[in-house]
Amino acid sequence: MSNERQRILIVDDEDSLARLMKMLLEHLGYSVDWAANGQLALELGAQHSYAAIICDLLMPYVNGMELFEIWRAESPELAERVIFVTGDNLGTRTNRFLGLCGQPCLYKPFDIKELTQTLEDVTASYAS
Amino acid sequence: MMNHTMQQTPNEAQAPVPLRSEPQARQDETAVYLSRLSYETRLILLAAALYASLILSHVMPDVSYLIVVTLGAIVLLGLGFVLETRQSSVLVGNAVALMHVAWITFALYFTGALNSPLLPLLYVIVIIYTIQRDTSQTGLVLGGALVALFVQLLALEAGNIEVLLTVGGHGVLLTATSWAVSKYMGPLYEAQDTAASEAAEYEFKYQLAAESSEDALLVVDPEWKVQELNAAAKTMLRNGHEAEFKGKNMLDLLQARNPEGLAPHQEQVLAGEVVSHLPLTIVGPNDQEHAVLFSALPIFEDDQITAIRVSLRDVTQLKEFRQEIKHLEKFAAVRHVLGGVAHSLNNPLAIIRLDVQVAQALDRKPDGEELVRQVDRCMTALRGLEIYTAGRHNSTFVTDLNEVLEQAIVLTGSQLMMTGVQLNVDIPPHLPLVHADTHSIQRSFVNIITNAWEAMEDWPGSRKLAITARRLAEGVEVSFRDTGPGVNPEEIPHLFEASYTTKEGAMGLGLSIVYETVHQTGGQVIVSPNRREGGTLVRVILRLASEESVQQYRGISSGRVRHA
Repeated sequence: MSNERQRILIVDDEDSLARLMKMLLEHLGYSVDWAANGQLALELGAQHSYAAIICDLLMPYVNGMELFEIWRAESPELAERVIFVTGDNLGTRTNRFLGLCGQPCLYKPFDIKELTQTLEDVTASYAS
Repeated sequence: MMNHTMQQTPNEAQAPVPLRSEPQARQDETAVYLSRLSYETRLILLAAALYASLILSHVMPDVSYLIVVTLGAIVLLGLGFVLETRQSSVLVGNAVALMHVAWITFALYFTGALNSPLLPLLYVIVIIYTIQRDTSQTGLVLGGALVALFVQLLALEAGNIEVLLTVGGHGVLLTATSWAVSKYMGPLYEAQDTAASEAAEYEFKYQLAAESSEDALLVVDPEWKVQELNAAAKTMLRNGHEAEFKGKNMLDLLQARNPEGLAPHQEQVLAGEVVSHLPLTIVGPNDQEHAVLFSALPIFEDDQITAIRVSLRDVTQLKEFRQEIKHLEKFAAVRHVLGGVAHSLNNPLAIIRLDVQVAQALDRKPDGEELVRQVDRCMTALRGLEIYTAGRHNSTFVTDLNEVLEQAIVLTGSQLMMTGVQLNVDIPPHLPLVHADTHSIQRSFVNIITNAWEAMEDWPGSRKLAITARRLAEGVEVSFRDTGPGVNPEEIPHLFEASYTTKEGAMGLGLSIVYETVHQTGGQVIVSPNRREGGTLVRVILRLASEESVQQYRGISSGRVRHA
């Protein structure tokens, strides 16, 4: 596994969750950036290249869907590395969006294995 | 009955007609068509005219006879033109026939052939052609010409040139008259024929419509005894055992659950007034209760009520349908809220799971404080759901606004974030307790926030919702200020009406519930345009809870905590 130096971006307004994911991923050898909102994520995305972006769907200001649409239009290489995370498991709008965008999604409360497995899938294609 | 119907003017033709079964209505149509020709009337008139002219020809065998008969014919003709009714065709037809007969008799008198065996034959021809008028307009002209020709032949046979010329001249005149009559009366006849057949068709269709109507239609006499009824009425009144309805009292057949409510309206109808859509509950087939709307219309003949037309509309299904819609609406609202609750639970649960699993993976202890914090978040969401769905009123009518507003925001937060609505909350801590039912006021806040969210969902402009609260001298004011499309000042008075909505697919129960809840405890809801940023401002003002009820509330709520 070539986790060394692979850069991951976490976009989540839940700082407890983000902190835990960051701790885990750093333990697994990734280099992790955290953006607490969509605006910050856009700035970081403009500065760095990421092997994967773990992005919450529901956030204040710029939400995950809007962020994805901006990236898809302006930086498709970032959009295709997005792994969505959502707690809105019943939302019709959420599910419609996820069905259409084609990106993987982790439904809260997700298992640590789901997280690492999905991350490996996405970063593997980045490495090659 | 048949003639009575026929003599109705077009206006009367639209008056209620008794209801009959389909085959019977067809028979009636044929009968109407036959009566339209009124052979009997015309034959009798014609026979009388012939008889009178024969007698006259013997009484005054000279020109004065001719004058009298002609005058009589002219009077009939004139009457026919003046009346312009169905009967005018009969009168004109008879007038023409009478003139023919007069001329023929006159000619026979002059030619001395009064006792000719041809006379009966001649009369038969005249009769046939006259009654043929209705079916053939040309019959009139041809008949006239035939008679004139016949008289000419008689005169020629007698060798009387004077008569030949005179009668010939009159024959031409007669033919011309017949032609003129057919030309000018023809369209009138046709119009009358069309009107009559249309009236018959109308009546037929009307009867069919009445028979196939889903409303129960009855004609009863002033004693409410059934005279006529349609199929729906039979079904509605058949309480499993009634086979014969006619002559029975309609009110006995109805078996109204609230007959005393009907009594004043019965008198109203008998006094000549119309009763419309009076709600009644009746016992229908299989002893099932039906909600019906009762309407009654008195029918007059010479200022006397001769019959009453009653209609009963079964609205049971409609009532059920309305309840169903209300139910669905409620379900849709609950679904929204459940989505919010799921979101509010899934976030802390994800943290709890990850905290434990990461601790295991990293071989360290989970963060106990963090776990408790997340469990509390779960409990806030569940408590909000509990209050939202409880549907019970708290006995003290005391509400902690801080708690309720937090719950309402938790329940709706995911919707707002999903649509990118920026939520700004400015609620001072420790607001005084207010006089309101906790469940209803929480639901009201959820409704107001959902309304704002729905208004801004597809709004291209700025999407912000500010929720603020402030203390007033006698209460607390909670404001919801959105930046959506705003509310039209003309709409404001209607906003609180149940089923008023500007949203497609919504039933508009939201604000009517808010209004009811807030006013129940003496509060106020004020909707106005959000002048600062466009959009809508909803202000809810609630009175402070009384000292006594606060004491009581503290007792109950501490009990609840202990119990939990």
